[in-house]
Amino acid sequence: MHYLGGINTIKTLIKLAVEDNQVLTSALRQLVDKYGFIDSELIPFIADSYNLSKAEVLGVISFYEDFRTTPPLAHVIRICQAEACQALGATTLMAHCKSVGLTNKQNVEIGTVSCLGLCACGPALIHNENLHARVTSAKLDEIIRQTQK
Amino acid sequence: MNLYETYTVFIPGDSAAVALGANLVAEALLQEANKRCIDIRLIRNGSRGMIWAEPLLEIQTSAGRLAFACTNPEILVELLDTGIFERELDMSVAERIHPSCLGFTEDIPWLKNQNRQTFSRCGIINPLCLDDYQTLGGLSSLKNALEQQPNDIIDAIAASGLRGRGGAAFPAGIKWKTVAECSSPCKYIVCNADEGDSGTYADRLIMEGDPFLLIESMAIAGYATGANKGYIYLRSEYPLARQILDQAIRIAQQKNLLGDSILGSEFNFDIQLFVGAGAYICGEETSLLQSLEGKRGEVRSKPPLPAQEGLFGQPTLIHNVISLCSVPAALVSSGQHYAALGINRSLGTLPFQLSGNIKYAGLVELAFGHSLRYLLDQFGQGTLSGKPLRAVQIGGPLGAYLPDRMLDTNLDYEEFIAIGAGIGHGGIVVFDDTVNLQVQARYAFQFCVEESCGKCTPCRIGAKRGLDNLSTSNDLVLVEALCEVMESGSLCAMGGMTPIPVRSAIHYFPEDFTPTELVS
Ligand SMILES: Cc1cc2nc3c(=O)[nH]c(=O)nc-3n(C[C@H](O)[C@H](O)[C@H](O)COP(=O)(O)O)c2cc1C
Ligand code: SF4
Ligand code: FES
Repeated sequence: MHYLGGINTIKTLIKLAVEDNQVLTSALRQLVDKYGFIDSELIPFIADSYNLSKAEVLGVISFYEDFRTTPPLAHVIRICQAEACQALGATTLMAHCKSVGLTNKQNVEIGTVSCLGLCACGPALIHNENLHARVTSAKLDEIIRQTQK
Repeated sequence: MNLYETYTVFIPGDSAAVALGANLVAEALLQEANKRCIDIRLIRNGSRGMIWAEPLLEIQTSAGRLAFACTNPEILVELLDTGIFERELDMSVAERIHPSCLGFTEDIPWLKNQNRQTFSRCGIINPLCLDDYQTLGGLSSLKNALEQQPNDIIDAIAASGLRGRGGAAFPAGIKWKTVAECSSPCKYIVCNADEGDSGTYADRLIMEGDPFLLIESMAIAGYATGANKGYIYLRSEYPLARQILDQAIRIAQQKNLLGDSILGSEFNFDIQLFVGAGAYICGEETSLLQSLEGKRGEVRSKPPLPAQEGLFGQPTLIHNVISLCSVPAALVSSGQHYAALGINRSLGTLPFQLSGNIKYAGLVELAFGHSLRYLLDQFGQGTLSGKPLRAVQIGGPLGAYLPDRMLDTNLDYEEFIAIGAGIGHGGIVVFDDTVNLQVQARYAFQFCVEESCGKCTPCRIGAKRGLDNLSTSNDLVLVEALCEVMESGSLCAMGGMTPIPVRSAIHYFPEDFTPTELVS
């Protein structure tokens, strides 16, 4: 992988987190915020820095949905599938995605999320850090069309 | 008194408003005003909780704020074309200025009929302006507290009857006392802002709309219990709340509301924001503490209680956002004012959150004691789809599905427990007659499969078995047996309460569970 600033920048970030007494979950959060994922190649270094075994670090990473080890695509769209959005057609929205092949666009990743706190105006989704509410199939198509420009 | 000058315009920066296009309205306003050479001041306030009216636009006039509902850039241009900013308004025709006009915000029945104690400022002020916060009563509670004995504050909290708003409704006074009585020099205040329950957004709304309230409340809790360090554990699904809290904490530190010798007292208190990583179970308090310590969010067995051995083994007062934000209201007149609201052992107010398929969805803060039907009829006013209401899920994903005939139950913690349900964090999700309760029961199991921390067998295996069963043979005798094992043998309420949505769905909607209703 090629990183902004190179692998040493990331290692410095981890070292600083350790020196700053930040817990492991905090350091992992920083990595995800900055790079979108945690490269598996970094796990031995993280384990070393935190004086943990590789298995322990992997155990923490795998527990949390946000701590992914694969790089995200340019557009990550997560559609809420929890109850309040179900009551307004979230399941249909997801089915729509699959039926018209929206799930296999080159640079778009479509996933699910459980509640965005927009339960009074569902169905809701989050596109990278942008929130959308009362999403219809047409609105979703438009959001995806914008990503293909 | 008008806090803001005439022609100040308010467009919420709240997540729900933004998700419905508030930023586009704000941009259009600035552009158009510039073009027309109108001098306006724009404030990105929080939401008033009328999510049905977002993006709500308000204009300060000399007679109060005028509200416009569901605005968009086109409506905005129409509004400006009326010359609204160029002349003093004739209020007798205010409603006729534009069809989107709701009249004066203060007169809107949907807001007027609420009892805003905790949410008294939310949506009114600029969330990041400490002066506005103070003008509307902010910081007076902390200043008062710092002049009192910690014990007197704890007595007032106990007298107010405040109970935990995160779900378990445990009396706050007892918890504060337990932490205060621990002799450790190092104690923590932890704010549970993981708000994972579907149908709930009260925590988000107040953190985005009145963040200094949370900071002030945590400082009071710290002073009363002898803790000098606070953490806010915020879920990562709330990116805007994260930005606002980040800024609010920084401002509070600059203005000496946090840090050493806060507000000139001898008390030191600071807060750190910690962002979660997408695990529902981390809302459970011990799992949250594990996560804050850097570990997998596996639930710890109790005892020891977090109040005695919590974060890093130290005494920890862990509270939901709304429990903490209710502290200043609860402390008014040493708890007497708050305790006078509500009924039985459910005292004070609760911000109920109307969600799902409901026409006037949003946050309704009411004293306990009204019926669920009153809340739905008076405020919700029917389904959004216009079809008949069939089921209401109250209390989040671990809450019961209730049919129409159960809606006369009074909003009181114990009354809901008595019917095998719970109020939880106050989320109320409405479904119309297209809902299939077999599908919902199956989802309850599926949610537990996905979100279980995996520590104990009844939850980890039971939920999977339940899901398989409701997806294939629909053997309700076996499902009931699984529910019994999960309820009695799970370490925490994730496994222990998943039977609630499942059983209520089967009990109240048996017609959905015939084998012919099998859905692939
Ligand atoms: C599975 C599960 C999830 C929970 N999620 C939350 C949550 O998101 N927010 C919250 O405040 N409490 C949540 N709780 C309740 C907490 O465990 C705890 O009771 C609460 O933080 C205590 O604060 P309170 O006394 O102010 O309610 C959850 C409990 C369980 C069992
Ligand atoms: S009930 Fe489920 S979530 Fe709770 S401790 Fe057991 S496995 Fe973990
Ligand atoms: S349930 Fe979808 S946003 Fe809350």
